[in-house]
Amino acid sequence: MLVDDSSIDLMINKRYIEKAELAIEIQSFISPIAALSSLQNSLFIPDILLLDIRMNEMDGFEFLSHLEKIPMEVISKINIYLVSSTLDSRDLNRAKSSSLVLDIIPKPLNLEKLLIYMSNNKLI
Amino acid sequence: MKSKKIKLLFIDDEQHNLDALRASYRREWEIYTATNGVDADRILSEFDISVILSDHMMPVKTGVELLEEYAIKYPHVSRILITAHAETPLIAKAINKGKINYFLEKPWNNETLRQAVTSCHNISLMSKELKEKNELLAKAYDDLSRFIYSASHEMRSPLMSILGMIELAKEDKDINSIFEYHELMVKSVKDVDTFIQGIIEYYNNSKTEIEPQNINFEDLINEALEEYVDDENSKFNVIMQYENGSENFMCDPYKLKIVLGNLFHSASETCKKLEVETDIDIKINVSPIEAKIEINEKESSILYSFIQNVFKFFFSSSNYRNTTTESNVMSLFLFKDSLLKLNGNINIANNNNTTTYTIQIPSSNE
Repeated sequence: MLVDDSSIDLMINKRYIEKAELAIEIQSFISPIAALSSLQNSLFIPDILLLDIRMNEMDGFEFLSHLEKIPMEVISKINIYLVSSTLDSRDLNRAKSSSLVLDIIPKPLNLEKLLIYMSNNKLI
Repeated sequence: MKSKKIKLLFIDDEQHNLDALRASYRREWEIYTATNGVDADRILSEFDISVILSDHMMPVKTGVELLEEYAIKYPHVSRILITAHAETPLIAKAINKGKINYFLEKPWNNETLRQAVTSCHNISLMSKELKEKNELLAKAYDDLSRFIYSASHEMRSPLMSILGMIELAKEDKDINSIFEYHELMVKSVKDVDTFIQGIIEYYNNSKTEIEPQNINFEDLINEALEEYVDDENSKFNVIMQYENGSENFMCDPYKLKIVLGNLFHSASETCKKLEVETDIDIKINVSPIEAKIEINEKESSILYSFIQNVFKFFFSSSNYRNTTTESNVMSLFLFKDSLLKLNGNINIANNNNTTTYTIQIPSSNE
């Protein structure tokens, strides 16, 4: 699952996931609220979630705080990465201290970064 | 206008002293008197006292003890100790503990006391002014932090998108995809440019003074739509209501246009982003004293995040880091700045799935 309120970044992220042949199904959400409701209603439970931080409707951290209310057995199956252009140390610290987040990947995403982060977490 | 007389509090356990001071200065100053600390405290908390004049030898608490308390509790009120026992240890204590600005001897000389009170009053004024300036500065600094935090994101985010597309294009052999990336890069470049133009507009706007004029709302709205909306998906239906005497409503047309324009802009951008077509109904009621702009949203939330962000971003003292931001943060800054300059305010009300935003702008005729 890809969540980013920039359609361009959403496309970039999707292309690289395709190139890496990581996923059998990719769902992209430009609206974090729509993505959240899809998760809450178990319509789509992905193995990997790439989540933007700075979004207009709801930021990535708020998104995560809503995820925490979903039963743990559902959420623990999802490998969550934040993908952001932020350089703010407070964002980075917050990302590192979140128990749900595996890591924060700096934008722009590319094939190399994707493979490194995924193999760091033994996903590939 | 409030009277600019010096507000003086005189504390003395002997009523005849209080009466004597009152008799000498009641025309010049606004004089409050207390025979004990309890009354003095009540007066200090209730009135905007500028100078405290206190006797020293009093039954429950001495003057120095009282002034020591007030120096902490009311730091912007100047303190004078007046006593018949001008001995060195007392003077030292009064200065060190009571933090007094002046030491006077009883019986007092009217002219010396006048000079002491006047100079103490000036100290109070300056200390208050300094405090206000400091608060303004802290607010400006806070605004600057918000701005830098958002601006770095507003500029870096499209730049990183461009970089991402350059990398994609490098690896792609399909000429059509490359054209597509170029199109998207152009869009990102325009986003950065819009942001930079917004900064310039904000800077220019912050320098200009308010110039109230009579407003032709129809023309103003058409101009705002033309300048701020470039999308056909959103249709704005504006209903004007004019009350008696509405021709006397005065406002700065440029600032008003910025308020309306950025509201329209945000609504149309949201429609574009969510790919929805919607009608936005706006009711503007003009009376001689104010213009009331009312927007109702049924279920849809086209303006919700913009207005929420205006609130979160500017009117709450919470940490700016915890706030989400509008896609074009300059819109927020311009909107808020112009609205505040027009002394306007904004409200949200919820009622049966309908959200009503009300923006009130008072007429600015003198």
